[in-house]
Amino acid sequence: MRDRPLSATLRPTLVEGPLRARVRTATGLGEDASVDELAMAATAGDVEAVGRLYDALVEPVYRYVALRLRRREDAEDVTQLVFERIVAALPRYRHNGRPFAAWAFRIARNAVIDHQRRLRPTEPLGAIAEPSDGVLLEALSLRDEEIRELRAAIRCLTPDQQEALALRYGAGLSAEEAARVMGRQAGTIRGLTFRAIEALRRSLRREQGA
Amino acid sequence: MSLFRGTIRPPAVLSDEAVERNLAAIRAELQPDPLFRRRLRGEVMNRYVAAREGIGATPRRRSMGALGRAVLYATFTLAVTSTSVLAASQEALPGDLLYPLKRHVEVLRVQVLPGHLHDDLAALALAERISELGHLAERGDWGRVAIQAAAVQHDYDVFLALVDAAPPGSNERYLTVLAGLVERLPDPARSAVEGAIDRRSGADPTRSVPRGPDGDPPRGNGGSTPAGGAAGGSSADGDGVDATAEPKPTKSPRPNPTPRASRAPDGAADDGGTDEVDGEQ
Repeated sequence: MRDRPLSATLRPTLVEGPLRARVRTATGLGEDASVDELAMAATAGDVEAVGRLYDALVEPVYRYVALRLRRREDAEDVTQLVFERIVAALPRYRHNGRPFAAWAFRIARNAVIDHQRRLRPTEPLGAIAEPSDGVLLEALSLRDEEIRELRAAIRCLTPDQQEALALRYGAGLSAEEAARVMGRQAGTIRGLTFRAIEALRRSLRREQGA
Repeated sequence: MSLFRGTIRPPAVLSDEAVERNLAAIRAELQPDPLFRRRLRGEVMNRYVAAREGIGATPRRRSMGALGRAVLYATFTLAVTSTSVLAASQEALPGDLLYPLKRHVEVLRVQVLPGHLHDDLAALALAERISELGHLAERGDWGRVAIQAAAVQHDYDVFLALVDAAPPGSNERYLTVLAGLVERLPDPARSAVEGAIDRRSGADPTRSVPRGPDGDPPRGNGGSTPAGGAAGGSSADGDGVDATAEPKPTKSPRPNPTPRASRAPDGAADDGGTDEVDGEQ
């Protein structure tokens, strides 16, 4: 069991999101329409395609935003903002062979960065490291000590590693899609993810050894 | 008790099952609230339909292109520059770079405004000339004082033509104002103006001249002023306009200021003024 890489453990655990799931409702596109096909239909004015697109994207987007922001209220606000921007920009979307998910998550990433930039001057330094107001997402997810340690370890990663981890294991994007979102090479994303997982493993091992 | 007790103890092993269980728990916590999800779905659909149908959609502001922005900046710069130049030209004196512009603006003003205001404009122009003459005299530019006296004479002719055409008594206020302006001029400038006026009066004794409020008569000493020294040589145009006021005694007969005017440094008050007057006529 120990020979199994952590990424192999993480991948099936986190990545089974709606991006891989097929839509259930029947439209002219068919039940197994991909996100890109839904996006093109939505661009052409198909209202039902917009609903299906939302169903396919809402969970990955929310998970990505929640991993980056930690507060549930912030995550909901930013998720709403992301979908408002997606709907507003949808008429201008052109499918040039680039995945729609990468386009949508780039909007999500910019929204998260804007939100963090807005919060930074007013938020005390200790608030991020040790939240105490009881409404933090982390407080809602504290089921046991191990989860707390894992989340604390994720917070200790570099911003790029957190971003790569959130995109790949939170939103379920491939390395290529995450690379498009972050404006990096796919190999860079793989390296960031690998080092993030190694850092997590070391951190958790240290916690359990202490 | 081994020295290697601390080092030979194997490190704690992180169980993959534990990591998997923890990550699954985190993932379960990262689900959006069903109510939030449903509400947001409705909002997204509404926004999309509203945008598609154009309902409640705020008109998107079109960003201005580079050409439009350049035209805007150029227009703004041109407007500011033109306004500044025009404003600066209103303070110009004869000989200044912007003085022709000032005169051109006055001509345009006469052409644009209706006819019943022309006598006002003529009075304003004459007052402006007299004021310029005063500034030139204060500056000590005697050569231009003589030239300006000719300009005063010309504007005075124009003004007289309009005044004579107007009903009697309707332009008394202009005469009062102009007489006040003349009174405030420095002595050399006043003598130049009076010389120019007297020259016209000498050529046509029936013409009216600016008088003080008490209706002082003009002085017939045109030949003794610096500009008027040669005024006898200037020919009257003889336009045949009847005088509307009889010559009256001047308010305060002042001594002939000829000696002051002839003290002009370059002596241009005598020669140049005469030439310009003749040229103007």
